[in-house]
Amino acid sequence: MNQPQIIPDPAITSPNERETILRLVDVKKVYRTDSMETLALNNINLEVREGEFISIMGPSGCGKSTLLHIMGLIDDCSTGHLELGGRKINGMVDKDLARIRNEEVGFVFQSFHLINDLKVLDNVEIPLLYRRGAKDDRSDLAREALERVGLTARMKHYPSQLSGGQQQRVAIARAIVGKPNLLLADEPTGNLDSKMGSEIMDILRTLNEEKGTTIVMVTHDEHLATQTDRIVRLFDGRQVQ
Amino acid sequence: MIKHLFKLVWNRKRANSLILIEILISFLVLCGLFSTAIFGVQGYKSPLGFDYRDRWLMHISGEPRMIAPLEEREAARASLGQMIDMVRALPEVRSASVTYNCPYSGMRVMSVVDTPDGQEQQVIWGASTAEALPTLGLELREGRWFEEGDETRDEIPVVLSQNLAELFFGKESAVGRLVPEMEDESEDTEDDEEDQARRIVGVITDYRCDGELARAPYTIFRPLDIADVDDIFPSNFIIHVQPGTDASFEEILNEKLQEIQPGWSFAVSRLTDMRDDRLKNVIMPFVVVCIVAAFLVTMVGLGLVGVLWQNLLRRTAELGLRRAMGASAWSVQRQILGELLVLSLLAMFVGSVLFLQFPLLGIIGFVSWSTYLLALALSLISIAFIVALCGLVPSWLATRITPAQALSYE
Repeated sequence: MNQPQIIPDPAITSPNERETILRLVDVKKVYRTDSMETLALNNINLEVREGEFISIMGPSGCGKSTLLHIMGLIDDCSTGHLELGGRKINGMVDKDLARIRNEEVGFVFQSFHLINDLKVLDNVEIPLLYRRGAKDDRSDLAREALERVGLTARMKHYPSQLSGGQQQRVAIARAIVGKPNLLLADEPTGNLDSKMGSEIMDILRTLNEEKGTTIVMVTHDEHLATQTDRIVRLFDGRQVQ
Repeated sequence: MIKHLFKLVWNRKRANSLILIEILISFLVLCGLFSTAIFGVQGYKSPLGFDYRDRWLMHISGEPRMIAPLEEREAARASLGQMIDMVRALPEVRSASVTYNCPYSGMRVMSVVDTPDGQEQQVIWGASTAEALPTLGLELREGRWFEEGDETRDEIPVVLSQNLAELFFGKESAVGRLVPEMEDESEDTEDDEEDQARRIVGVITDYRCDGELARAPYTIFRPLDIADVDDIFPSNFIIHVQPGTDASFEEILNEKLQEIQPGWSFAVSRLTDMRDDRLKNVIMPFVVVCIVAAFLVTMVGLGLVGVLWQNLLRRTAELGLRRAMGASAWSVQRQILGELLVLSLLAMFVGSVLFLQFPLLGIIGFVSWSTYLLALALSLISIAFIVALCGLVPSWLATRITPAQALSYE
């Protein structure tokens, strides 16, 4: 008689068993001016696994946003190296970095960074403008992303006609419209009241749990951080936890 | 992306209005300059219709006016006849002609004719002695020039410039036909010149008596009988001298003319010098206007760089966002230049509509459609080039800001 086989479900595998999506090795970031050097990050070693929801915490000026920018390839590290999706990022040219940012990374910012002269739908379409072959279904993908954040009714509005929470939901829709593997959120609730902050957190958690989106979130809020899989703490550019 | 660019430019129309107006003004200035320059170049390359080399203009002053007593006018006519005969007999002279239509002199007899479309058209209506053809080096295209006895015919034989012949008869031959507005009156012809029919005997190449850079006037030559001169006494004659004739002949000529009529004074001008003066008189103001326009376009260009850079500074965070969303530095630069191109196209469209009113409404009738269209094309290319040049530096500088810096820009 055949023994029943146990087939592992990827959705319930523990984070340790999942593939590493992002790896930072001895990353150091130094800002130089004519008169001084500032060490923003000092020997950061970090692995982010597929499907993880990580929060980065630390006091202001400790390098949280710098770390997030390096993870999202919008800033480079002074020394050390970075791997994203198994590829070494160091030394890549701007064009390749831009393509990876476009296809594999989504950003959510504290101040939303919506373009006020464009309607909600047009704002959400922006990442697809820089993607080849997405011309025909650009609008459909944007609508789908807005549906996920519950804002289809507002897609013809301008950002200035929306509340802060709605604007951040638009920013999340824009970040996920290209179906990225990694979502980077820089204090996404920082400009919102607690109720709206909770709504945004719910959306992020849903994305992580239901769609398996890997999320790295910078936050000051201990309560929000405890809702994530793991907390990385920084102090004076060093990783302390 | 093109739709996105149009959307951005349209939604920011208020912010872009200054750039739009700057481009529009520069475009219209360039259209005006190019039209003038093309008109000048086309004129310079077209046949002049006469020869100015080795031609002297003898100007007479002190001759009697129409109000002078009859005996005085008869004596003057006799003197003029003697003078022209004397001049023709000189070995340095190839031919000489008395004419009311002297090139570059600015003195001419004007008349008005009715065109087939019912418009009134000013024409030069000047008489010349039969020697005007070789003396001025006129180019006969059809028919004949005046001949002995023409001045005594019932009908006045006339020679038309080609542009006037075409205005009257299109591509059909004008020779043998009457100058249109006289056709009805020719039936009851009387001796009075006013009522005499004008029979076209020949057509000459456009006679551009104001020089290469002026429009070709409509011209009618009619025969001049010196013995019959009455109302307006001719005060110029043209002398075709032998090549190499120098200024010493001028003195001899003056002395001989003074012998015939000591009460008159005579002044010689070379058509070559008169032509040079005329060219300078037209070119110098144009050069000044070009310099002013160049300053204007440069100022507009610098202003454009400034306004554009200011706009881009305001949009630094947006550019950072686009970089974060996957735009490469080149994509951002291309987008900025694209937006500028869309704005330029809009300004140039408005400018073209305004500029094309000139040929459509015939505001400057003697400038052809081809001149306007060529000027328009050159202006379009120039503005596109200037705008691209002005946009290049700010757009390049915008890409020098890293996405991380741009996103934190307030």
